[in-house]
Amino acid sequence: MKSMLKNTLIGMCAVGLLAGCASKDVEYDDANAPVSSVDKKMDKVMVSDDQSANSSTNSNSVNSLQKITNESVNRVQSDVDGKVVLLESVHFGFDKYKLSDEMREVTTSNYVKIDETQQSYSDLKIKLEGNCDEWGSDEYNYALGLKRAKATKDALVADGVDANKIVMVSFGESNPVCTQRNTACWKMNRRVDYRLLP
Amino acid sequence: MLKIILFFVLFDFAFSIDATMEIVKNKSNLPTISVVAANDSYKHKSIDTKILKLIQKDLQVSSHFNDNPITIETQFIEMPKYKTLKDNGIDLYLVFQVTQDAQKRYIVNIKLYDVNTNNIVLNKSYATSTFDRYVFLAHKIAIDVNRYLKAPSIDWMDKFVIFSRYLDSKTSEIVIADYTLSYQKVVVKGGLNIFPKWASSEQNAFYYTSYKGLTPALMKQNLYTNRLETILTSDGMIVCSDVSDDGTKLVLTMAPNSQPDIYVYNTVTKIKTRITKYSGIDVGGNFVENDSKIVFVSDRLKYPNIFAKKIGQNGVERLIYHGKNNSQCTTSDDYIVYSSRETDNEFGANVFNLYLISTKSDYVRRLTTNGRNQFPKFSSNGESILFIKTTDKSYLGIIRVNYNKSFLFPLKTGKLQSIDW
Repeated sequence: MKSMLKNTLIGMCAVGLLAGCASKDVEYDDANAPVSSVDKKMDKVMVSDDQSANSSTNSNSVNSLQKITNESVNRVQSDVDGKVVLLESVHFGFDKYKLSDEMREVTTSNYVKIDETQQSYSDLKIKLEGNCDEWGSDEYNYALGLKRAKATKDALVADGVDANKIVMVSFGESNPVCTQRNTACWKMNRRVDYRLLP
Repeated sequence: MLKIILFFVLFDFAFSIDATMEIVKNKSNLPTISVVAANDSYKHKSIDTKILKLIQKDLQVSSHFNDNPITIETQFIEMPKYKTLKDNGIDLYLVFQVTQDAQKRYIVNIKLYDVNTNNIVLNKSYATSTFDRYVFLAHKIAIDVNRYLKAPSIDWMDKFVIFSRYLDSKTSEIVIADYTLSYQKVVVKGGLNIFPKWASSEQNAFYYTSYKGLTPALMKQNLYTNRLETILTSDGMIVCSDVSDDGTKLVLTMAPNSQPDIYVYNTVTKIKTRITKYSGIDVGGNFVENDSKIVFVSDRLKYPNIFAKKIGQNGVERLIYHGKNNSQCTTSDDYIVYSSRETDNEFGANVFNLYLISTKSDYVRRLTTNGRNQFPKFSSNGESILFIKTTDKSYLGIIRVNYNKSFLFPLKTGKLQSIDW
């Protein structure tokens, strides 16, 4: 940046000098004025449309539905061959990715339901989706969401789920369940959702 | 008179070598320009007024001119009334005319006059076949006027800015735009597509993170051929944070072992090298010192802060000793700009400000004063910083570092997720 500032100095010197000498410049003829077009590259800009893709961001594609049952608890309903499994989301403190004792009980409760379902569907996969509130930088939030998913995964593995059956994804702040701007809402968004993939 | 201006400008810059110093330039030291749309212009959809406002804005953002928006009724071929202009303190007079040619192209003819020497000094025409590209015609005119004066380059004004904007839950799109957001074109839509990053300074291709599959994937898309490549996938997350100047190395945040760390990926050898191995969060890496070192964000002090690590060495260096939550940074030579949250909880106003520091001194310069100012990105020449400001809606901000000025441009739809230019 220092070299840039020196260039600035030199450049601005030249402003005065050249402006002072402008009378020696050639006058232009309208008819011969060069035409500068902006179209050459912009005509070729193309658009990619992922809407036709099998997007895993669409809840319905994995037969999972998000349900807000009251103001503080969020549950995700997974439909496994007609069997409904309701798993409670795990919530976290501000800027935190460690499970509280209360949330550890939630992960154990969820494990019991998952284990029951896996008895009938051994190929069942569990997808853990980490989420954040709107505070913090976006890239940091995606990492924070991932750490929350990882803490939840570690709890599931400790309870007995095969680690190879778990996939994780972080949605950062892109997937809020509450869009009002208050602390209760932000608290609901700092969570990990479970989805069962038949 | 312009020689007197030269003296003052010299005087100013003699004291402005350190960019961390606050510089408030005296407006009277700059040449005064007046921009006028000829009244014989083609006026379809007020294109003449739109171009006028954009040129004036560009010259204002350049910070190399004082704008004197006097109203003059004139035809394009008329000679300027030099005496009137001089009496109004005008040094430069730019008049333009919009026409359409036989191919229905929009043509903008310009004439730039040096009022002090009674001479025309620039006469040029610009063309586009599509109405909404008038934006780039205006930027090119401003660039040429600035270039005529040999002022510091503003060539970045007609380059694309690329950004992702959230539209709904897990839904975003990637857009190319001009820096004022007056021109916008969606280039990736459908699903969640985030963190676009230009693959090179030519802006022919860009990287972005796609959530199309079961795990996030780093994609590379050519803007002109639509060729789409999957570069890497990673459980949990993958983000391209920086690209080396030659385009052969990427700084990535990814988590192949469920752990977000910094990696460098060589696009030629296809080899990825893990740079950090901390058990917490390491994200947002940027190359510095000829790609030998990575500056990144880590929570290894139990809150986000900015650190640096030499590639191939073990030690990690803390760079910022100010603030309690510094979670984004951008680098240019010896300078770092970072975003700092002024509170450490979710209560209160939660202001995010941008700060500029030099690695060669301990001086900290605050660049913003209020609101949520995030995602700073240095321009390639280090002279400007692009950033995202969030209130009830999103703004693209630009800080002209050497001139102590900043400008905001609103996004009409969606919320800005990330930007690159």
